Amino acid sequence: MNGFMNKLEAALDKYMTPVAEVLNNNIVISGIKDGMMSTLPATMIASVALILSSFPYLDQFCPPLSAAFKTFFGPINAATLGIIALYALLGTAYYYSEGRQVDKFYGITTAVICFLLVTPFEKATEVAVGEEKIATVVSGVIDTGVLGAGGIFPALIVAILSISVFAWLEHKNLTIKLPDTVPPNVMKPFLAMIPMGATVLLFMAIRLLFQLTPYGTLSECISTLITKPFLNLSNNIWVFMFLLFIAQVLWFFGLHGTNLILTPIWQPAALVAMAMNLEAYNAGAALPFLMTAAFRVYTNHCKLSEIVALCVLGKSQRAKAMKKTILIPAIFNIHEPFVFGLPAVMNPTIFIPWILSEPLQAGLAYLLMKITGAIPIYDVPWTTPPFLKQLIATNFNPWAVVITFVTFAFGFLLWMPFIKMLDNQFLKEEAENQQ
Amino acid sequence: MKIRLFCVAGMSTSLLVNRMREAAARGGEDIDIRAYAESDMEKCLDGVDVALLGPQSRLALKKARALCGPKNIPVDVIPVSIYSEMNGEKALAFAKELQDNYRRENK
Repeated sequence: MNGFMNKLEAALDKYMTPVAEVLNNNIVISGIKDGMMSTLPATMIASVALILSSFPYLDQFCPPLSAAFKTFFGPINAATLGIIALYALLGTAYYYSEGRQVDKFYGITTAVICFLLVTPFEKATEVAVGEEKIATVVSGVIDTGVLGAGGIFPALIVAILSISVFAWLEHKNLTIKLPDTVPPNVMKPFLAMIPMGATVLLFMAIRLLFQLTPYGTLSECISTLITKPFLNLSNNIWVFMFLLFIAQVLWFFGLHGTNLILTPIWQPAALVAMAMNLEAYNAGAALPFLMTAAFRVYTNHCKLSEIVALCVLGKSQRAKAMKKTILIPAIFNIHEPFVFGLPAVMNPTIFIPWILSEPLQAGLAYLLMKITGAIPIYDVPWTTPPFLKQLIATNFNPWAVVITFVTFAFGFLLWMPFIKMLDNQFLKEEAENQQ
Repeated sequence: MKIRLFCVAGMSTSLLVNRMREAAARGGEDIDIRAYAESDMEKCLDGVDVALLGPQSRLALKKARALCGPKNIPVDVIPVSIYSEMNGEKALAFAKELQDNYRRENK
């Protein structure tokens, strides 16, 4: 077993650590990751407004209040989730400018100009004239459909591309030279002029180029070629289970696997899917996706199974002493005291359940979710205790409690023999120490 | 003295922060200790004497050194042995030793 562990660690150092380092330190990936994370306040506000405007069961026992809630909280959605792509654009532009070491404000300005340049300023619609409906094109408007969840991928790509060009030109020193006596604040807008102007011209050319293609606009092309395949990937339970498995392998070596693997690879697309689900939910339509960023409410308490198992089954002094430090944080989904305290890190006795239990729990949750229809719609802060979290996330679907309990119990049973084995080891060590 | 701890969300290291504060209080020392998310590191380094990373964030050490180096702040990963025990006294001693070594090397 020890030889195997050494080999595993050597393989990890050789193959996985570099990948994890790239994922963590690459400025494009962290720009997109941080940019998408920065949309969370807007999504959260929209979620709370959505919960209040369609408060569970309120329309049955107090219709006037329900109607008042609808009119009061309804418009918030249009200003937050309705233009979520704009927030993704601003966030990504901000963090990516920081990564590329250019002025953040000019970075954001460049990204917004370029995004609007490749966005149509007209909308095809129908106008009723008497009995007849006439198709017409309204000009001088920005279709909010372009700024909704469907616009997130175009926004991310435009932000990265435009700022890359902007930063490249700026670092080439292609700027207007002014005499040293000019005050810096006067100079700053001039410095940004040429790189920004050149970037804008390039995106103007892109706009014209895409008008020649069947897609018409860059956004349309991106949503066909990139958004759809990416969303299918994030909506796939097998992909999710595999990533969770890799994350657990990293955790086994004491690295924050969830943050290293799941957050950069899966989360950005899953957040787009969640925004699309929220849009559909708000419009009263069927949810387009089963798995979104909100699905994690069914998995981020998974480690509670083994923690409770240790607290309930542990007879050794060590297990009893650990109870005090691991249980309370675990209720709020903080597992590090257990991970490092047990330790679960580099512990061959529990290697098998450690890497298998969580992906299986996720698969089980997915299956039950598919059967019962308790699909999480909102993302809830990850420190919210279990049961409450899943209830809020599914807009108070009672099945969410059942799913949470069943996945917990499944993990508990899977872990039971291993926790007992570990506890026996502790007991044996304690007996030896006493002699 | 100002010590800052960083991990992914600043949650689990905040548990160790409490233990370190208790240890500092027992020693009658006035030490300002706080935990933050790794992504906020740049904003949280003003006047800091020592920066520490949780072991689960050890891949961020390179990035942390790049941020702390120009500000002359010593930074290192908290050893797993200290972290697993959530031992405030040892963590505090580790921080002080890190600062002492750094001062000696940069004299």
